[in-house]
Amino acid sequence: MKPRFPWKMRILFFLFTGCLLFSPSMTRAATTPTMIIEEAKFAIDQARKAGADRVALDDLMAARSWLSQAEKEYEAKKGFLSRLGSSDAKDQEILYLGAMAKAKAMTAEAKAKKSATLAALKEGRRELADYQNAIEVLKKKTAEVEKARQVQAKAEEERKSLEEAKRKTVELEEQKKRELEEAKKRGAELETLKQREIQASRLEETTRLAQKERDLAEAKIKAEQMAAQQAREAADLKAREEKLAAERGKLAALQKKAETLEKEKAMLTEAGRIPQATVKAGEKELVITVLAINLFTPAMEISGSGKRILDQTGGFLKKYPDHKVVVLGHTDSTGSESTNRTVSEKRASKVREYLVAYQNVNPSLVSAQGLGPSQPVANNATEAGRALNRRVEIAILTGE
Amino acid sequence: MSTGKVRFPVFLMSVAILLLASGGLALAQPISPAMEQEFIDARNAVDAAQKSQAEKYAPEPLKQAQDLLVTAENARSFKDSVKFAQASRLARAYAELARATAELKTEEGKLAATQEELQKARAEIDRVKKAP
Repeated sequence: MKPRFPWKMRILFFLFTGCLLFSPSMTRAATTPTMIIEEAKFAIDQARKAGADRVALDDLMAARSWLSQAEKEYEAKKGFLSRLGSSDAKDQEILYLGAMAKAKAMTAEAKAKKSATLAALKEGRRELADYQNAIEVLKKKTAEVEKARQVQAKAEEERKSLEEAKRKTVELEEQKKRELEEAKKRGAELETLKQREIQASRLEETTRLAQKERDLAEAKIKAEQMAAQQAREAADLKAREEKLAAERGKLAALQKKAETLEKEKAMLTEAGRIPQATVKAGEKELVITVLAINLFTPAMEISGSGKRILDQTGGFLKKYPDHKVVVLGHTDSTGSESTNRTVSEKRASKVREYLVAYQNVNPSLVSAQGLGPSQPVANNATEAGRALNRRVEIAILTGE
Repeated sequence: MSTGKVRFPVFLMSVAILLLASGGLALAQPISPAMEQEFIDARNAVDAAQKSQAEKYAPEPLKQAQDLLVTAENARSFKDSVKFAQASRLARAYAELARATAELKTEEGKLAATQEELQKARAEIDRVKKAP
């Protein structure tokens, strides 16, 4: 059995296939020059319809140029074929030119469509923006409508409430009117009653006023009586106060006197302790009497006993430093008056000097005076009497 | 099948192959710097298309452009300047188509999103309007 394809056939087939594979791809896209030219024409027509002559004119012109070349080659091929019979190279050339024309036309178409798409996109976006704006506006309006609706509802509610309030007001006014009429009636009744009451009260008031007048007159009398009594009591009180003041004065004087007496008593007691001296309390003075025989020597100097007596006396006087002291000298009646006076002065001076010099008695408070025989305390007819008259008296003034 | 019937297509194919080979050799010329620049431009255009998310939105033209870049590189290795130049140009054209398509799709996506938002906005407006 013979194989279906002999080996020569097979070799040729592989060679042809290899050539086809090696040849440009555009030769496989369209099978014949006529087809590619038709396709290119169709593509150019489509591009033109898509508006490529406005927006992709270069590509469209290029496509037309390629197509024109392809057609020219095609026409040339016809003449060539008529002379030689066949030319694959020409076909390939035509296919190439046609493919270029087709590609350019399709590119022009795509560009034109893209331009249209861009325009549509722009328009669409603008429209979208418009719609979005419209949506916003609508939403706002819707919100406003909703708000207005709410406001309307509220207004309706308020209107109803107002009507209700009006109705209530009318009712209240009617009620008020009724009450007012009622009140008027009651007022009239009350007025009558009031008039009656006023009359009664006036009567009562008159009675009360009369009573008051009477009471007032009585009160006036009582007041006058009381005023008189008060005046009396005041006078009485004043007299009592004056009496009381006098009594207080008296009491103060008495107290002072008592104090003085107490003091004098103390002084008397104190002075009583002085030896060989007699103490006598007068009304305004305290007198310490010492006989001359106890104070002086025959030469008229202070004797030892006299010093002891005067020291005691000085100590006593220093206890009462504010009192004035008067030293008085006395004599008996023997001898002349002038001699006795001189002797008495000397006796007084000696005593004063001793008290000032030895007992530090304030000299301005101590004075001395000689009285002679003018104030005898005993009978000068006897020796005892004369001895008693010869004396020195130290008078301490207490009544000042 | 008779042997004569088999021989005729073999003959035709052989002629075609010879023609292709002879045509290619006849047209062969050195690859110029301008052609290289066209190739670079094509590659850059493919990169730009990829950056515009053409893989997602225009995978077919992108694939064609990438395949054409491969074709151009193959042509370069065979010193086929014509094929190199054609493939480069075509690759660039397909890359630009992919980019334009991707950008169109991107914008269409945005437009669709905007329209969807518009629909929502309209619905929202209706809802708000109907709301008591």
